[in-house]
Amino acid sequence: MGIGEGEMTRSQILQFVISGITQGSIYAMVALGFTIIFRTTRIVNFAQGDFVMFGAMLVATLHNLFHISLLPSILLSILIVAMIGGAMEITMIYPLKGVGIFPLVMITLGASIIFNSSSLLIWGVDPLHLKGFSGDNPIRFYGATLMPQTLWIVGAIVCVAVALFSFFRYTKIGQAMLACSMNDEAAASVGINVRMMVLSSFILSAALGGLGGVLIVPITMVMFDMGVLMTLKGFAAAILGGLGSAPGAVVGGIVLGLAESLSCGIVSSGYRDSITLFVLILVLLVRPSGILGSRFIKR
Amino acid sequence: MLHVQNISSQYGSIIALKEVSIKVNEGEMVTVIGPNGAGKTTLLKTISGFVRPSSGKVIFFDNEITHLEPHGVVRAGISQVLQGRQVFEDLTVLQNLTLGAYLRNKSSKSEIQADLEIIFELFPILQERRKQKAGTLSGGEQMMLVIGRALMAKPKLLLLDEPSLGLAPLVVDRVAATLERLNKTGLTMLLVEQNAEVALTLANRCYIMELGRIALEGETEEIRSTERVVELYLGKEV
Repeated sequence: MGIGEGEMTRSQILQFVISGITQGSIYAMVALGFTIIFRTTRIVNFAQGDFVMFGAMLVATLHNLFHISLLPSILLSILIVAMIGGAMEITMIYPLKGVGIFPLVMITLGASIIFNSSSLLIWGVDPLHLKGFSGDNPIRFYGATLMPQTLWIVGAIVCVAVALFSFFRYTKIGQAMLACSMNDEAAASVGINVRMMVLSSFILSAALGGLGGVLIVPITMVMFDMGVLMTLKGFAAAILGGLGSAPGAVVGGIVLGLAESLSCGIVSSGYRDSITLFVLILVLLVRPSGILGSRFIKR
Repeated sequence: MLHVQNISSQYGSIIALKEVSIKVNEGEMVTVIGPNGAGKTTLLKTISGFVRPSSGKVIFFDNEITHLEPHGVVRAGISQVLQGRQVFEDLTVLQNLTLGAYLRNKSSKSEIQADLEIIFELFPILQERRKQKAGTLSGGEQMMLVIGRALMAKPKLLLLDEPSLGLAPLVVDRVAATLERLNKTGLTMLLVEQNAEVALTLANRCYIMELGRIALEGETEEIRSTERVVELYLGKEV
């Protein structure tokens, strides 16, 4: 995918920007999932990418294999992933309350391995695929092509970001979740059921991951082990934007997507994943609090 | 109103409370004083559900609340001002106060607004700073905020864990005056303090805790004149 001899044309650049934003929106979705759990519990959930994997595998299976129509397949998939998130909290996080954050982060890594292996057992190693929600006829756009699915993905991330922002700022439960992240003892002292907030944060963030997975199936091959890479990308995006900041997660995701895509164009697509790691290391070295980071991370 | 019966509690093998019993009647301000490590905070946290006792009971208005979770205790009508001014630092003053009313689902917006006005009247500085993040307030202002936040739950009983800790003497006096005023309006309080002078001036009755036990109890008037108390807690010149 190198540029060959001449300069990149404007339409080529536009093409890379489009695909960068598309991919970046998915990373943003994963990063938002990280943010929600981190905000409530200060746990970094390394199984976040597996929620995306489950969402993707489930929707492809329900629609292609069980011939359930698209919308119910999507909703059902997200619902199941949300339940997986809740089950994870109930079986792995809650029983260990009081052990501190670090062991719990390790537990989420363990959960990721379990999710990965279960997925291998259920679906095998073959990739799954799904048609675009609005077909796969590309739209011409100033010399570049735009898949209709891109519009779905970008639209979804915009809606989700606005909804989450309002949720944390204006709703009682959102404020209560924030309160838990700042001081869980004080949160309990005003009558907040801290346990329920933790459980809700896992359910909500799993649902978001599931949504990301559902959206991504038409533009990529999905496989049982895609979660690991998704976690990595989403984590890098969250760190880049500032772990704990919801707008930061969105910005971080898009920036990471663009960086990847443009590097594919300028250097070589072989370096795509190493760009993520490079960005991650760079941010941690230069500005550990991220682009829009709060005080959360400085300690 | 509140009856703590023979509470014992331990952290691992360390015994924090030994058969502690205390009583708080409606309208009273009761204080528990004693040195560091006597078990005062553990006692409060046992009442508010953060610590599970190994034996004994906590009775509130004829209901046993020993095994309630902290949020359940708040629902029952007991609010706690935790030690160390624990505000939600990245939320604004107003958001902090609003969270205080978290469990009041039945109250209308206007009722909660009216209670906010009462808090602002009690602590005018909070109104001035209502849009400021709580983490940027001074120590005294944060103390007022956590008291205000606890009041927003409309508790029947307010537990206070060392409200004077780390505050300048002048600020301690202001907080003390506010507590006195709240008590006069009918709010029942259980105040844990190391600052015996302040606590004994405010309270009607007093318990003295030493090494996890109640060492002495009585009306503050008689406690104040007890020789040992004067010597140990108030300093000789009193």
